[in-house]
Amino acid sequence: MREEMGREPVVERGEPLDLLVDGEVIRAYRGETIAGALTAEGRRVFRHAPRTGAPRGVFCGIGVCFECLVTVEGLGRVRSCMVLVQPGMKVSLRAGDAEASGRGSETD
Amino acid sequence: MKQTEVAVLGAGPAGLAAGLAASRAGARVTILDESPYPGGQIYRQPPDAFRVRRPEILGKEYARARQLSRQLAASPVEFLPGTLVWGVEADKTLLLYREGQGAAGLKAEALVVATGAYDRPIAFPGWTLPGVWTAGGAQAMLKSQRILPGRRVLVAGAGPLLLPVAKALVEAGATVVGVVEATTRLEWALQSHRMLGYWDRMRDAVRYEAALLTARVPRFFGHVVVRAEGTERVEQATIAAVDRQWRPKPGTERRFDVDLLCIGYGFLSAMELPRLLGCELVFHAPQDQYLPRHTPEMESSVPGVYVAGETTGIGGADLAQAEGAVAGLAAARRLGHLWGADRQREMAEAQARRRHHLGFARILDELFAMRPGIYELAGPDTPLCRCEEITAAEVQAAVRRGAASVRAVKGETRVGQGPCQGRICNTLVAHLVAHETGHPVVEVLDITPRPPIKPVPLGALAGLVEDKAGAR
Repeated sequence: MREEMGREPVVERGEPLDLLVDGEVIRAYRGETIAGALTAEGRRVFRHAPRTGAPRGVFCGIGVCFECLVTVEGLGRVRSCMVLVQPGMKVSLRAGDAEASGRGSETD
Repeated sequence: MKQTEVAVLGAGPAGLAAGLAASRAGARVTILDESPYPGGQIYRQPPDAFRVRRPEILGKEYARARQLSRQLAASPVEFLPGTLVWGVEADKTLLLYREGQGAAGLKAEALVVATGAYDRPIAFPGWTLPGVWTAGGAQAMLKSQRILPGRRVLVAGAGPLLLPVAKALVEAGATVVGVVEATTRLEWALQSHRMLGYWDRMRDAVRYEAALLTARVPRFFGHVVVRAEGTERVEQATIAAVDRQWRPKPGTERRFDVDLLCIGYGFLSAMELPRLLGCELVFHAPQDQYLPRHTPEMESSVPGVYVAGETTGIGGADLAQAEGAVAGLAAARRLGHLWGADRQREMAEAQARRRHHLGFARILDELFAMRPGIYELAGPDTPLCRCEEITAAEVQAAVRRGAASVRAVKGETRVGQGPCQGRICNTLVAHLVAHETGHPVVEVLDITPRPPIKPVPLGALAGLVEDKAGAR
């Protein structure tokens, strides 16, 4: 079961719920952070840095560095390591990249 | 607006000890933390939604975390989780932000700042690649989420955190291809006589060492990671032997295939709130950082503002709890709560613990202090400021144009102006500026934070205005 790869069996997770990530359904469990659910799924690249386009993902894991930013419908840009998944949550990793490249074409 | 007597910022070991002690001494206490659960980084626990099947295998830190949580729940202390303190006013009014509830104020009569620490960032080529995590970040993911962030892992840095992180990775099923420590076994041996008497810590170390030996994890002493490589994520990590100044020796490189590189060079104390509160800071050379000056009863230079735990310098959970208890008791006494023989005894006992654990913190401080070579690993193209993507070469160019301090470089390059507000890049930029100008680091370090110290949605500020108006 691919999605269970990164999850340790020493705990019984919360109820399963679906997380929509750029239109793709990802299995997550109540109590997991967005970063946790993405990591368990094998995702490492959460966004691309606006200036160079370099890939970025989780770095500090405790809310200090703001590297793991993702876009959540209704919440905007959030630190994925600090926000717990909710049923029906819609997450986008592409939205931030698109917004950043849009901004880059302005005068800045 | 809400009011309290003692507001404790941070619900780690120091903050919990402070809040519980102040409450026992009769004070009305509110503890605030950004995270949804008490415990802080060290006593981080799985979320309530998880059921822990076998608590014993989660170790003694988990047991301690549960114990503190239970004490908190059984006490009259008010706990505000998921609360960001983004500013503070001179009359000790805290400016709060809670997701979904907007901004609010909390007026306190005394404050205990126990906002902890985070992994000390060290820049090297490839350190921004996905899959390069801080050791503390990997530990948090394992401890709280019980999710394994990699299968083939190299753990590298300097200091006592590397061993428990490597052990936790092994236990979660990862192959740890090496634990790379910058100091040498000889340097450890030369300090070992000073560690006698700290039996708990020695026992922990022996347990970690034994677990790594059993798992046949290769150990490299006197080595550092010099670069990480990969296209979209880390694929290889290269280490090299270093001299006494931690400068790599040519011809000693070794390369590992990895999908996770954990970096841990000790910690930086979070200084945003002490700075914002106007606490007088003094440079603490072994930690390369300005830290708040405080009395033996943990009061900072600002009357009624106490500091405890990693806020006063890196010292671990035992020292944090002792300092927290001292600070909480002192705050309650200051507010005029009854100070009988039992409180006096409690204070004396906490002070004795504080002095004992401080001794061990000093040993680790010296043994694992950063050395100059570690700040020279970044190449010209290596970003120092991850938020604004400012490279070492751009910082160098700014210095050559005359920017002789972090503040000046910030003005020239946008370094430290992204959402992390310089938490990650400050010391890195300071060391490069110091290197380029020949000035000591203590003279070029700077950056006074202005609220909000972490980004807050603008709409939330409107709510605060209403909250404060309603209070008048």
